[in-house]
Amino acid sequence: MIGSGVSIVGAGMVPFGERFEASYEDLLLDAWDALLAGTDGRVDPDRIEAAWLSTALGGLIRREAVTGASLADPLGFHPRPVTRVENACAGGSDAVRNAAFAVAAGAYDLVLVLGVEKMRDLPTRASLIAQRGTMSHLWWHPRGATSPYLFGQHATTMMAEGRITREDMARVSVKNHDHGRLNPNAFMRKPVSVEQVLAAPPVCEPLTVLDCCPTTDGAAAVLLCRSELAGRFTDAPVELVASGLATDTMYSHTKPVFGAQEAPTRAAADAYKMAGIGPSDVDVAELHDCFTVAELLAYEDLGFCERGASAAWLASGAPALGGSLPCNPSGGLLSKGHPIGATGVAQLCEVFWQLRGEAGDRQVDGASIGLTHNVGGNGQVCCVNIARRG
Amino acid sequence: MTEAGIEAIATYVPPGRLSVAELRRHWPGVAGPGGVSTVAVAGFDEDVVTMAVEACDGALAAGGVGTAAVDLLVLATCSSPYAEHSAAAEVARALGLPSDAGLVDLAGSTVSGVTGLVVAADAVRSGRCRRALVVASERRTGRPGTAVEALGAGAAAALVSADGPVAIGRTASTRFGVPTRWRPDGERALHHYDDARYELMNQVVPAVTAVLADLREDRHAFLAVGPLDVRSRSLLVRAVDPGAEGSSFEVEGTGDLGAAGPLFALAGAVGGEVGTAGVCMAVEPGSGAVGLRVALGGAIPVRHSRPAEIPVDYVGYLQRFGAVEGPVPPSPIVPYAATPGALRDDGEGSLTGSRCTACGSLNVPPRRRCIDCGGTTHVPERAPRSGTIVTYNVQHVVAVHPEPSPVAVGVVRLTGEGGARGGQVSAMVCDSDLEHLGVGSPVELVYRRLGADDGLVKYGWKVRVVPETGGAAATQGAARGDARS
Repeated sequence: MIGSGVSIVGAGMVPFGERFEASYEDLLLDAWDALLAGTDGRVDPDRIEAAWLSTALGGLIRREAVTGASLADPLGFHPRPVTRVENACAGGSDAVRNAAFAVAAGAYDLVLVLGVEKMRDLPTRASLIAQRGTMSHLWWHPRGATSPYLFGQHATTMMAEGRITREDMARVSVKNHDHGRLNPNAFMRKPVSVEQVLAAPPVCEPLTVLDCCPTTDGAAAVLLCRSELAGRFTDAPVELVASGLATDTMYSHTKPVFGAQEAPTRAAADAYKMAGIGPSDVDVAELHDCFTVAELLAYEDLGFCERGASAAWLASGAPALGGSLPCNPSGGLLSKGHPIGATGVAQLCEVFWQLRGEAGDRQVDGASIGLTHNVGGNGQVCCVNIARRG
Repeated sequence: MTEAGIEAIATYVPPGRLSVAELRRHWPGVAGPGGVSTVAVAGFDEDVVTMAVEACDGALAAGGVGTAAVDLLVLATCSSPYAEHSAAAEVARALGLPSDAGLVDLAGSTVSGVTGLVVAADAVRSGRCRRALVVASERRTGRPGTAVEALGAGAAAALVSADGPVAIGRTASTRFGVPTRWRPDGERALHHYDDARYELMNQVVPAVTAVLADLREDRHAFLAVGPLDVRSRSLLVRAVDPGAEGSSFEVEGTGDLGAAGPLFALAGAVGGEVGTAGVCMAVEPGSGAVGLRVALGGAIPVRHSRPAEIPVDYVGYLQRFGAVEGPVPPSPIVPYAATPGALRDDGEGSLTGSRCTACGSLNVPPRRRCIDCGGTTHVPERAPRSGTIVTYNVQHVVAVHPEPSPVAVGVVRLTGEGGARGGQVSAMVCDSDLEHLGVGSPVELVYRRLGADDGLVKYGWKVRVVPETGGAAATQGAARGDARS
């Protein structure tokens, strides 16, 4: 439990994708409208006291400073307080975490968390390079690293150690695209085969295009309130029971090992402790599969399987829909898309719907505990949030 | 067959003026444009598109015609901002023409303004279009220090429809001569074969004479010919048609208006009550001449837009054509190697790190707190120039320019260095066979270019695989999928 209890009483998102017709403000407003539409008129928007806005690449892609006003202006939310959160790809979950802590501290009863990212105002390749900027200390900048490199390094090590094969990574893509087919909010809703993943154009060997999440636009929003008030807003609240956040050093060359990540491991341990549960208690998880290898790493970092056993665990069918711990029923970043600042919030939307039994064809039967895993940079930062039905 | 005629005409001349005296001050021995004391100069924020929009707005307003009634736009120019991309589309967008209006771009020849009138008249006569807007727009320049350096700037537009009072009659053209003015691909300035009498008497006069003969025009009230300067035009008129009245319609102070010249001349003629019939013609050595007969059946509205003149000095003139770089706006994209950050990282050039005096870890680049033990006492030390690959990837999206693609980027454990987090560097791999690169590959550090920003080179260290002389074999090709189990 976080403090005296924090609950999620609403969730909404826009279909992720190449939304060339939609501006940053359009995405933001559509997520807001979707959020309110899901509350059956039981939430008075004027009673929302504060908001947290997660956008990662405002300056780099939008070429405009993103501030609290970027949310307050289109929503007419001013003069209420809006905090803008940027913490690389983990910003969405961190915004949820900070909003939850503000509610737990008694500062507010009802708050909004909204993540939005407009990435496809640049060509996909330029967008990939732009993301380098989020980790570009001047010293690092000329070294030529790109986002897929940061996870590709783990893949090379894990393959060299014989822990995973090229095909194992491809199977993550196959699984998540299979899941994404069932999600109307997912971008890539076509199934892919292992052969297609292997034969796809290389991006950062050993990763091909189908090992990498697509560059997408999107927005997602959740409403948080003090748990004792949740019944006013919904008959099926979901409690946000834990949040863990951890950091690592900045650069690849200061990592002590590859094939394991310290920040996700620590963030998960802290979240499990706060929730009073262990990994085996989790019923459904939304993982940060920005690259296929990242999901394999996550199985091990989160303790879903033993260190080194991710390939066998995947092969057992456990993380697929119908398995013992379905991972990324939404399709994950690989299929649904990864509008950076929105991703962590969208992960929580999926968990909210799963725990309320509202996930349609991709519903995990009887799910009562859900986890989100949201990694920033090369594992520089990770936020793990855990929610429980009721 | 339906008739075609001009129903309104308008011109725009930008406010900038370069005086011929100012030009002569810099190039005292060079003949300037004849017969004028100034030439019009487009502003920094003006080009063929914006001036065409001004002229078209004027023609539509003069004719009392809404944009919805225009179904063809013809843009004629030698100085489009684009070598490839329709400038007519840009003009149509700004005017708000219907999206199904036809667009024609006529470029690359100073006869294209008259050709535009021919195209529009044909389209109206054939019924393919009801109302066409023909606009010719120019902002040309010539090579500095030549007689054709100071060319003019401006735009003229004509509305053509079936009931236009200035009826367009017979048209004719001839191909004649060899080129004496040309602008090579990729250059901004006109080149010139500098022999004015040869150009006029042996190229222009025969071409104009041939077209007049083809038009069977014995007597005409006016002869609007462009692009020629005032002096050349009067010489031409004397040579081909001593009987023509009011043949010189130079707009004072504009200079050679290229493809727009004949339309300017026509605007002067129809507004000047010079008679009832005449010829509008364009001539260009090497391509010849294009002409059409016009009948002044009735008065048409003519609108001239002439903002108050602004003097432009020669440096300002050169800046407007990019011949001299103007003020460069500040940009957040700065050359890395010039920044304070690069100054602080100055030790990087010599690959200097910090050796922790507490735990012995070598931190590269140097750190105030040791990455391994947090110790704050350390001494600078140059890093070893060799190591082994810890992990790497082969990147097909290259973030540093120029580099080959694909390029390998990896983490290197420096030879003899311990520490869990220290003792390593990140680097691009150069001059190595990627098929033989692997985890554990021995490498040496080499000083190379790491791209450049704004022409300022970034230097730094890359790694090169060294041939193995025995010992532990690397897991070769791991990133390329050869290590499948």
